[in-house]
Amino acid sequence: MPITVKLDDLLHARRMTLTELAERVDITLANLSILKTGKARAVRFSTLEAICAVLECQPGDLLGFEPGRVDQ
Amino acid sequence: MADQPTDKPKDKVLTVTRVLLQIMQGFLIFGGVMIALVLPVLWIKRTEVLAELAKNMAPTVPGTESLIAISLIMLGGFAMLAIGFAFIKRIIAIIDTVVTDTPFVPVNAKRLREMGWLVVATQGLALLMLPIAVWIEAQLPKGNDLGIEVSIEALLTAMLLFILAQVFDHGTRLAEDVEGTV
Repeated sequence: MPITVKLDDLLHARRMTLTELAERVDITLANLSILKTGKARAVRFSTLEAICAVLECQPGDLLGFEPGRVDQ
Repeated sequence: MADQPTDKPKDKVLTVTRVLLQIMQGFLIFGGVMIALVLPVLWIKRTEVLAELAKNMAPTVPGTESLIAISLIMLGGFAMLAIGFAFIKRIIAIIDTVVTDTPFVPVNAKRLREMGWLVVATQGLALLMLPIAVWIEAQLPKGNDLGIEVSIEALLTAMLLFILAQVFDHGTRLAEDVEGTV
């Protein structure tokens, strides 16, 4: 899928772990892991809102678009 | 979590239904075995059978054609039982997916479609057996009905199953989307 998720980069920049983020946004670690690894098929606005609120970023900072990119 | 209180009664209904369906399968197997046992006997003891038939089929004198007709009806009946068994087997498999995981899987849509075709097959079979049944009924005293007919209800059931299969196809796609939604 050409849509990429840059959650790993954002977490790294904020020195935050996925577990910590899961606790703060009240989303299961399993679901965040699916998002981080790019395996999610869709993202709810409520999820985006919660992550952006905690990481103090815009949805555009979290998602990217790479034309021609295919899943491995 | 909100669904939890309704889960147990639903499971009970499914469990009871599953048991009833298995009992029905037992009856169908019994019927099939009986036909498989009686059919050869019909031909081995054909003199006695024809003599017995002569009492009921008077004034017509039954001959080998009567035995052939009865045998064909019995073979048709055997096929009907086999179709019934296959139909129930698929219902049980669908129930199992409801209990253990989710019913919205591609295989259930396939099962429903197959069930639809099985119902169509019963009606095709009934259509083939109908002239034979009419012939036998004509030889019997009035009021004897073998009960073989093409049923509108069965054809409606088949259509409903085909529609349900499409609904399940759609439901499966939605379930896949929800599963991948974060």
